[in-house]
Amino acid sequence: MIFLKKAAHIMKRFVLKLIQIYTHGLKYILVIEGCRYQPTCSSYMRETILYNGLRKGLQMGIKRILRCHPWVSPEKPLFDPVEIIEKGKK
Amino acid sequence: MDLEKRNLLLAMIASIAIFGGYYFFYEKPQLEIQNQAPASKQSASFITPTASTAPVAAPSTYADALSSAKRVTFKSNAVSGSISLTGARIDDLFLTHFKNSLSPNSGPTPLLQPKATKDSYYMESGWVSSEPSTEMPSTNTVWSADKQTLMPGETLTLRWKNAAGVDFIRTITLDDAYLFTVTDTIKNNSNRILQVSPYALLSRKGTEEKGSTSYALHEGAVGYLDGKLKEEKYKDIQSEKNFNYKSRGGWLGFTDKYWLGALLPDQNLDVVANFKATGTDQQMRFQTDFIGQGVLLHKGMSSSHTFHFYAGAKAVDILDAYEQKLNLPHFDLAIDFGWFYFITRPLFFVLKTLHQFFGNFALAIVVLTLVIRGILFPLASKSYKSMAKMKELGPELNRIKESAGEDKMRLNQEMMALYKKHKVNPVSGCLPMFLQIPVLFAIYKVLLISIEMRHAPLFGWIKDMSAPDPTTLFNLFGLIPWMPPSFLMIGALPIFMGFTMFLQQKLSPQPMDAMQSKMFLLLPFLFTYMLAQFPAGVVFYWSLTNILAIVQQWALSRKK
Repeated sequence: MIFLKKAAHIMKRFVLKLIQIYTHGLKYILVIEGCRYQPTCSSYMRETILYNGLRKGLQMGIKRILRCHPWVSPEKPLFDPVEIIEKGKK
Repeated sequence: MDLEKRNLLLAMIASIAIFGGYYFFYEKPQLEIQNQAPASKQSASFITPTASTAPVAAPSTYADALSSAKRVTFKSNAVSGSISLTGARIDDLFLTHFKNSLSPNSGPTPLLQPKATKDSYYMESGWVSSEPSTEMPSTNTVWSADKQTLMPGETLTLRWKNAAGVDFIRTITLDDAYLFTVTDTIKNNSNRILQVSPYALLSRKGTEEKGSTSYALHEGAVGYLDGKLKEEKYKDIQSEKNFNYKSRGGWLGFTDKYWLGALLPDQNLDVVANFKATGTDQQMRFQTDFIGQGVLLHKGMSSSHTFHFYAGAKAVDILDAYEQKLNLPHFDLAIDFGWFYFITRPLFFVLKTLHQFFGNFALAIVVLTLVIRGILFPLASKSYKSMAKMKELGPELNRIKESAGEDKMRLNQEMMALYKKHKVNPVSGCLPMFLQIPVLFAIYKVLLISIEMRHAPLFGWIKDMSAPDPTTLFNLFGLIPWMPPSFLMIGALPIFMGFTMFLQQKLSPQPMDAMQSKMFLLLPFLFTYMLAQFPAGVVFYWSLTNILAIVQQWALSRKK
């Protein structure tokens, strides 16, 4: 059980590191136009993983990327902060 | 900003250091090893599922190994080779459709090779007895054959009888392509009760010297067992020694980049399958095998076991045909399509169909690029439209900026209101980019793994589009008789690609961020260098994508 928790923790750290690599360098290579929202998809992903855990966080982050496209109604607010999901403890 | 700049610089230095380091510390020593005289051969010991037999002291050249035993030769449309009557092994097989290298006088590609040779790779089958005292056919048993050559549609029958009177009969047939069908029959004419299980194994050596092992594709043991795809690299088998699986039916074997040797047991048979390694680190031998359920044979009873053996190229339609015919589970997964299977496989199909239609891969890739750009066109046109609108809003934006001054909050709010009023999204978002990455990766993968694209000429100087462009800037494309090391191989096509990328950037709006626009200038060079190591077909695709983007941009801006 402790081992599993540890593995999950390492996994989370690893994913956060990947996001960091993306925001610090890769982003400039890949993204040409940038994100539609505030906070950007990458910092949204980072925050939601920190607050909501790896599994839920990844789900929310991917959903966010899926709604970050040019057909979004311009009426939709640019500000789209991370929701903190209260589920049991933490 | 400064931190980011530093990181970027570090990343670039690191990538160049990696390519250079790879050459000096890995590739160069490898080349030196290859140039040295081959080390003296030792005889290898070998373990069947039964038990180990005495090591065979044997000759090491291919010709010697072939002449050391009586053989039955076989030939189909796609393979030729021979079966050794000693041990009744299939251990000599060439793929006649595929040349071993691009050179015009290259021979066919060898797949199976006799036991005593350096890269030995063979198939054996038979029965395992529960009682060690029973005399079973061994690797040194000399069988008798009813014919000298085996052609498709014919049946070869091999026989051997032990001292106690137990008859062993093996029939082998070969189809038009890559499939052997082997039936092992045992007839108990002795006075004892026998308990035996059927087995088949593939054994190979010399895998560590192949050196083509890449992170992007799987080479090693592969199987679809117990409803799951199992892939184990040689390195892992070597450290783990044994992987075993219980499965009903399935298939298992060894996969190379383009070739597959696979045992296909009866799909209703419960088997225990193994991937294992034996021997010392210098003389590692890898084996994949399966053992069926035991049968009890009283006097006069007999039992038969039929399985298939695939030895050939991993061509998608051939694998699919066998999957249908033999009811195999996911036989096409022997080709390492990777994570993006759902994109890679359709992409492969489109590319192949286009190639059949045009008879030319260059044209096929051009059309494929058009199709992909066509699918992504709504995205591009949408973003151009909003770009154009943004241009119109430019003066108004400037006015807002001036009036808001330092008040960021107000600036943001007013910009938002402006966007809303004119119904425009300032940027197109993250999704479009994430959509293009899997497509590029899938094209890379298709070119890398498909036998259909091996040694396929693209145009002009590119005779093999699955390999990097063979020319290089550093000897002026062949004018200077000097071959630079691999990390300086920057061909004409990658340079052309870099140029198209540069042009495209010049035409597209510059990013607002200062850091990003600096990065922009470096990108063509970075990509030229990186893509120079990629299959030429990928570079060609990327150049076309850039050209199409330029054309699209030009057309859309004219329409405006």
